[in-house]
Amino acid sequence: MAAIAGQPTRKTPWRAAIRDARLWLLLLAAVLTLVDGYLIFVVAPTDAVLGHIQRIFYIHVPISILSFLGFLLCAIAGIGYLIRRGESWDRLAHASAEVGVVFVTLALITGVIWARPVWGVWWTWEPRLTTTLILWFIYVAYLMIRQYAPTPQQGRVWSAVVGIIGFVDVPIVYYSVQWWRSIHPVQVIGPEAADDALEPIMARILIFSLVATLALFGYLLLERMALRKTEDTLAQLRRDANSD
Amino acid sequence: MTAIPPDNLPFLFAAFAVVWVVFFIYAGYMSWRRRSVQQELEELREPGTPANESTAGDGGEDAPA
Amino acid sequence: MELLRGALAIAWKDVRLELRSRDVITSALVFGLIVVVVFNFGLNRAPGSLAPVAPGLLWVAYAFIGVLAMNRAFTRELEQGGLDGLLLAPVSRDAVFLGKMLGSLIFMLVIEAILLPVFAVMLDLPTLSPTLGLVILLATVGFATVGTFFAAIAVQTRSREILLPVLFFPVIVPVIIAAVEASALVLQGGPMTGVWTRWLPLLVVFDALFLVICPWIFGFIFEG
Repeated sequence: MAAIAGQPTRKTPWRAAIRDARLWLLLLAAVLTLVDGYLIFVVAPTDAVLGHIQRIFYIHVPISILSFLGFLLCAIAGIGYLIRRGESWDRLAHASAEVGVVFVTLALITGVIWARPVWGVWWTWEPRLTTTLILWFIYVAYLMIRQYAPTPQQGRVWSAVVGIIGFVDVPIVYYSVQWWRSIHPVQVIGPEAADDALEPIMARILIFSLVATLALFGYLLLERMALRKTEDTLAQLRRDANSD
Repeated sequence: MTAIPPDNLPFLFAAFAVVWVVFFIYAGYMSWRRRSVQQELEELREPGTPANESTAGDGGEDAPA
Repeated sequence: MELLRGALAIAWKDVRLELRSRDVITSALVFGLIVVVVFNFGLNRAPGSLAPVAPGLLWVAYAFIGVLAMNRAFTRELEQGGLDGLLLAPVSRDAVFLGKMLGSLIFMLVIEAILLPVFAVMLDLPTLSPTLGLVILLATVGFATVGTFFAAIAVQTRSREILLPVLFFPVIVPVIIAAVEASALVLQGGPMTGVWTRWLPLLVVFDALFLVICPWIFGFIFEG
């Protein structure tokens, strides 16, 4: 995907191919999601300890993983933009950050909904949860930078820089929170680590969910990039009209 | 630990509902917005030089100079 | 060392400017005191001392002061075209970054050194030690590095007052955690193995990482 986006595009064939890819991905995501729903609610065994609530796990985990993928893409595309200065790199960076923020928001919401019945609290400063929250802040700031920059060009460069710094920061945040929490254990009612000792069938359904969510992620990403491109074209046309 | 786990169905329902509502709104918003921008684009292109790009649809690569 | 000479010249310029006007140091000192007073009303609901939460208060106050000082360090450059002058100076962008960063570091260390005894009295802190000084130094280097970098972006935007903290605080979370935990251990006066095996190395790694990355990509901030 990055390779395609990175090309300065020969005109029509690529564009048509990408548009087709988007529609196919949408279709694929829809089908996979329906099957996934069937697997999660009908096929998956009810967890012996946690009960039905454990089924949240099948969407919470893929969504969290893909939000990380979004921010990884954003950092890579940001570096690509700083080096190559292709508009498409920036489009990819922008789209993956925005889709990443949507995913990370959903990861937080489903995490909170999971924590209440399973751990007995709405929120706990668990390392993964806390790191996810910090990620949310960093990439919301990333999107704000684009908004507040005086020129679009500055917004692109600044946000690329923020994306890189944010991504470097994430592992340090994770380890510091982990150490910090080992000193201040949080009261947790009920079983803490539900993802240990996953039954094979559960693991397979989780992987299927990951693939389905990946298709959806890809679709949203391409759709966001197409929107950005159309907006850019309109802005360019307006500038040309004004300069006449 | 009780023998029969609590079902907690409202939580389960809430989680899936939030996820799907957000995805639908986000995807729907994007395609609605792209269509409206696209339309504006075509309206702007119409009066000036007619039919610079024969391929209709996905938005030009860059504006004709 | 061309780089160091340029950086020191810029830092020295900021210090001299500050010695003349004293506006950053004065306002930051008063701000730091009022933060402690306000926290006292907010937290001291049960009778007794604030000692258990003192390390947290100390670092929250220091972080707020850092944002204030670094924002000021760059807004001052905006007045009378100082920023353009800085960028046109015959030094590399790394030197500009290091210079501004050193200037902010000096201000913050001075403010922190003045405030520490005052905090110690007001918050009833048990001991002061050289190890605490080391923690403060390393954490402040982290603050100044990340803060200077983001301040350079934030001052060029419309909403500079809000953008700096929004960028600064999430990235600085590991430094706050390490500094609070290390200070708590030092102030308790008990065994300090955690300070040396965990928190100080964490601070060193954070500082080293951002001292490499920030100057490296600093030049991009001033394009366009």
